[in-house]
Amino acid sequence: MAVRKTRTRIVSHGLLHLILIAGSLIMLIPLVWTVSTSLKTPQQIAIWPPEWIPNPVQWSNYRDVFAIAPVTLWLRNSLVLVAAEVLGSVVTCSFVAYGFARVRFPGRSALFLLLLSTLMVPYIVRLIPLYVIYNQIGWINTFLPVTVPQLLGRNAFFIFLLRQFFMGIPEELSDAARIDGCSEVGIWWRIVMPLSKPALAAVAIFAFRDAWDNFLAPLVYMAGRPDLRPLAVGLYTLRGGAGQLPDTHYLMALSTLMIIPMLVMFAAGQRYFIQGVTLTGIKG
Amino acid sequence: MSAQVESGGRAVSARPPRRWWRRKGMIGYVFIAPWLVAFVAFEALPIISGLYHSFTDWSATGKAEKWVGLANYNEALTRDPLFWKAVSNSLYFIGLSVPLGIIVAFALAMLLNSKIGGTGAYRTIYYLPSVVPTVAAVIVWTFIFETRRGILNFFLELLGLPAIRWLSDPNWAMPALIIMSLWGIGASMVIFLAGLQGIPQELYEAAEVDGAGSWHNLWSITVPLMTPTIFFNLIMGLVAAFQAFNNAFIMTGGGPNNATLLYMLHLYNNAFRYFRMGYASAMAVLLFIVVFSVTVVVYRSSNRWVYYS
Amino acid sequence: MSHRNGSLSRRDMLKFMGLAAAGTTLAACVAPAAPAATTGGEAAAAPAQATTVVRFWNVWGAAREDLMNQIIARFEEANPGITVQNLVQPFERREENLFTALASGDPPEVLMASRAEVLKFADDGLIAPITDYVTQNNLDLTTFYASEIGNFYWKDQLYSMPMPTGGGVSGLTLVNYDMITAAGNEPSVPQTWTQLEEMAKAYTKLDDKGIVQIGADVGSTSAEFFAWLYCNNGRIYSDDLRTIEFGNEAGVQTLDWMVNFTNNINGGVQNVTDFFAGPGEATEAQPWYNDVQLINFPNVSIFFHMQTYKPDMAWDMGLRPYNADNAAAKSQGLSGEQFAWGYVVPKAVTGATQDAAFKWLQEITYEPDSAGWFVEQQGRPSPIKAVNDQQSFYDVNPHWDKVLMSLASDISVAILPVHARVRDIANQGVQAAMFGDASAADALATATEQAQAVVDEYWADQA
Repeated sequence: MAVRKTRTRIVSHGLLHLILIAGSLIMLIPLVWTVSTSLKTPQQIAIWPPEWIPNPVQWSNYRDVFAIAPVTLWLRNSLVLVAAEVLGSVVTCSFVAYGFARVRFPGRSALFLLLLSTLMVPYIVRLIPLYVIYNQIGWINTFLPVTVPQLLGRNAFFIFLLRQFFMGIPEELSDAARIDGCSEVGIWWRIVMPLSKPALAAVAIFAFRDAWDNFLAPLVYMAGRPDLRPLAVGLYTLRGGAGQLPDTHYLMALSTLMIIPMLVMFAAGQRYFIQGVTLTGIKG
Repeated sequence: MSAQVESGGRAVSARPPRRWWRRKGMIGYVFIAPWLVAFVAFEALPIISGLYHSFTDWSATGKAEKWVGLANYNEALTRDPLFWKAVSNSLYFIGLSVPLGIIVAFALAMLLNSKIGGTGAYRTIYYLPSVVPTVAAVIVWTFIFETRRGILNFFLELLGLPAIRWLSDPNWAMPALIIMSLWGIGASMVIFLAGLQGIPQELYEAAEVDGAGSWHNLWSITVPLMTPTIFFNLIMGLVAAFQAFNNAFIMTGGGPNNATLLYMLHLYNNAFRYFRMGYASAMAVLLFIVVFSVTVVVYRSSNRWVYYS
Repeated sequence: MSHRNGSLSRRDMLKFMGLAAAGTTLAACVAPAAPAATTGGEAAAAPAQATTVVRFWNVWGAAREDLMNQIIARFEEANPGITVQNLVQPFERREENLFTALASGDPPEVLMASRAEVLKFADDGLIAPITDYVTQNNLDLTTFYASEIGNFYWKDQLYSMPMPTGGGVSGLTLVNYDMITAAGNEPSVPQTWTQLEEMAKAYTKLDDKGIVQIGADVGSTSAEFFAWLYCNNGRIYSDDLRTIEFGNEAGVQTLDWMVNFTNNINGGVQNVTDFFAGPGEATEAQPWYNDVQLINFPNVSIFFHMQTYKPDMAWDMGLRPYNADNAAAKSQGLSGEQFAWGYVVPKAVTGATQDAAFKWLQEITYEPDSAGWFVEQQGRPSPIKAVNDQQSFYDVNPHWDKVLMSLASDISVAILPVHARVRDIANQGVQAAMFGDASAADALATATEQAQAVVDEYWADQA
C-alpha cells in the first residue's frame, strides 16, 4: 500500500513538473528575448525570427548604455519613488487597512466602498484635473505628486488586500492583547503586523514593482524636469521616434538591468510564502 | 450588534469626559485618516470634476466649455456606433479572462505551495512576466502569435490542428488578447500564495487522521479558507478587466475590424485623440456605474460565501 | 464578533504622528527645489534676471537630442538674452503628456504637436498665431514647399512653420528592380492602377498558408484609402469643409478597387496582415529588404533605412499610380493628412517670453542652417526647398530628384479640427469593406453619414 502510494506520488509529481516546466518555458521567453536582444547589434535584432543566442555577443551594450544615458541619475530618482511607495504601502496602507478590517466605526462600510470606488474611475478622466491640482499647489516638476499620495496610503489596492488578510486573523489574539492593556495601535503593530508577513511581503513586492515601473505619473508630473526622471521614463527616451532607427539594444540592456532588482526583491519576499513558517498554531 | 457597540460610548456618559480619540469608533477614523486625507486632497476633486465634465463638451484645450445636459450620455447609449461594439467586446473579454485568470492563478498557487520541489524557482519564473517591460512583451507576443512561424501555431500543428490567424482574424484576436492576459497572472498567484500561508497545517493534519482525500481537502478546507483571497482577486480582476487597456492599445490598437476595441480604448480615443473629454467623462461615469454595481453585488453576496476567521 | 475597546494611548498617537512626519520629511527632502531659472514666467517677471527661458517640449529623442542641443548652443550664442531648455519627451503616451502640459496654467513656451492637434488648438484659441511675427520679421514663406507651410494655416492665420516635412508620405512608389531582373523582365515603375495590378499579379506568390512573396499591398486603412482617393480625383471634404465627399462615386470606385485588388491578387486582407506581421517599425526583417516585396509605398524616412539595411538594392521610384480610367485623375501625394509636425506657442506665453519663443520657433523651422541641417543630418528632406538641393542628398540617393518632384507636387489636404474622428470613421468603413462586412458602397455610405454628422456638429458649434 505504502509502496503504491509512493509510486503514484512519483508519477503525479513527474506529471506536475512536466506541466510546470512547459508553462515555465512560455513565461521565460520574454525574459530570454530581453536578455538576448540586449546583447545584439541593431542589425542582429532585425533578424526574424529572432536568433536566441547572439553571435557575436555584444557585451559592450551594457557599458555603452551608461555612456549615452544618465542611468545613475535615473536610478537615484527611481529609488526615491520606490522608497515612498514601499514605505507608504507597508506602513500607511496597513495602518488604514487595520481600521477597515478590525475596528467598527460608523460609516465603515460606506467608506470602504468609497475606497474601492476610487479604483473604478478610469485614470484618463482624472489625469488632467489632478494635474491642475498639483499645479496649483506648486507640486509640478517635483517629486511630491509621486511620493506624498503614496506615503498617505492612497493605494486602495493595497489597503483592500491587507484588509482581507487582517480580517482572517483570529479575534481571540487581539482580545487577549486588549485584556493585557494593549491599545488598538499596539495590536496593529505588535500582533497583526507580525502575523501578516506573507501579505506584507506580497504588498512590498507589488509596491516595489509599481514604483519601479511607474511610467505615466512621473512622465506627466515631472515632464519639465528631465533630471528628475526615473528609470521607467528614461528607458523610453532611449527609444527613437518616427524615422529614427530604434535603439532597441540599449533599451533591452537597460530593461535587463531593471528586471534584476525586481527579481531580487521577489526572491527575497517569496521566503515568506513557504507553508507554515509564520502562521503555525493559529486557528483559522 | 453593531448598533450596540456604536451606542456604547454614549451610554456611559456618567464617566468623566474622554479624549476625543478615545471615543467609541473614533479610533477607526484615526486609522483611516491618512487615506481620507489623500482621498479628499487628490481623489475627490478629480472624480467630482469628471462627473461635472460629463455634462459638458469639455475639450481640455482651453475652449470655453458648454453645459450640454445629458447629451453625452444620450450619444453614448443611442448614437455612438462604436459604444455598444466596445461594450460587447469588453464583456467578452471580462467574461473569459476574469474566471480563467482566477482558476489558473489559484491552481498554480496550489501547485507551487505543495511539496513537489523546486517551487521557489517556479514561483519566480511565473512571476517573471509581471516584471518584463511591455516593449519586450509586445515583440515577443507578435512572435508567439505569428501565423506562419509563430510558436502557438507550431504547437497546434504538432497536434494536427490547423494554423490560426491569431491577430489578423477578427474572430481570433480577442482570444489572443485573453491568452495574453493569462500570461500576466503572476500577481494574482502571489496573492493566492500569501493567502495559502494563512491556512493552518493542523486542519490538513486533522483531515488526514480522518482519512479525507486531497480532493475533499481542497473543497472543504482550502477553498473555504481562501474565500477572502478569492473575493479580493475576483473584485480586483473585475475592476482591472473592465479597465483593460494596455495590451489592446499596444498589440492590436483595437483591430482587426474593431474586434479588440475594448471600452477603455474607445474612451481613450475620445479623450486624447478626438479632444472629447466631456464625452469621455460620460463614458467613464457609465463605466463606473457598471463596475460599482457589479462590485456591490459581489460585495453584498460575499456575506454568503466569504468566510473570515 | 467580539466587542472592541477603542483605546489609543497618547504614546501611540505620537508614534503614528512621528511615522507620518518621517514620511513627509522624506518626501520633502527628495523634492529638490526647482532652480530659479526653470520657469519662464518667473524669469520674465524678474527684471534683475536678464535671461528669458524658453522651455522647448519635443519628442526629438535618442540620437536627435544631441543634434538639437547643438542648435540650441548656437542659438543661445546668437541670442544672449535667451536660454532654451530642451525638454525631450518619450514618444510613448505623447498625447496625455502634451495635453496635461497644455491644460495647466503654466505651459512650456514652445511645444511640438501634430498638424491635426495644431489646428484644434488654434481653433480653440489655445495657441498664439505667428502671422504678425512673420510679417514684422519679413520672413519669406515661399522658401517652404507650398503644401508644407499650407498645413499650418487656420482661418487665415499661421500658427506654426513645418519641420520636418509633412509631405512625402503618400506620393512615393518604390520598385525593387533586383526582383524584376532576377525574373528576366524589363524593369519599370507602374504609373497607373492597371499597370500596378499587372505587376503585382505577376510577382505575388501564394501557398496554402498565405503570401510567400507580394507584388504590392494597396493597404486596408483610411490613410491608404485617402491616398488612392486623391489619385482618382476624389477628396475627403468639399472646398468649404462642410461636406464629406470621400463616399462619392470616386470614393466607392477607389475602395472597390482596393478590396478587389486585395482579394483577387493577395487572397484577402488577413493574408496581407500576416505577411507584414513581424518585428514592426523599420527593420531589415521587413519583406522589402528581403526581395519578397516588389512595390513599396513608403514615406521619406525609408531612404535613410535603405542605406542601413540594403544599400546595394537596385531600385527606382515614381509617383503613386493613378486611375487612368478616370480622365480627370492624376498621381497626387498628400501632405498633412497624417502627422506633419509643427511647433506652437501657447497664448499664456506673453511679452518678452513670447518674443523669445517665436524666435526659437523660427530657428527650428525657418533657418536652413538649423532646421535644415537638423533633418539633413538624419537623411531626410527639409520642408525648406533650398536645403534639399545639396549634393549630399544626391550622393546617397540616386533618385533624389524624384523625391523632390513628389514633395513639390504634394498638396496640403484641407482638414477640420475634428479630422482625427473623421479619419477613424472612414477607417471603420474601409475595414468593413475589406473584411467583407459590407460592400464598398454601403460601407462608405454609412461612414459618410457618420462623418457628416461630426462635421455638421462642428459647424453648428461654430455658429
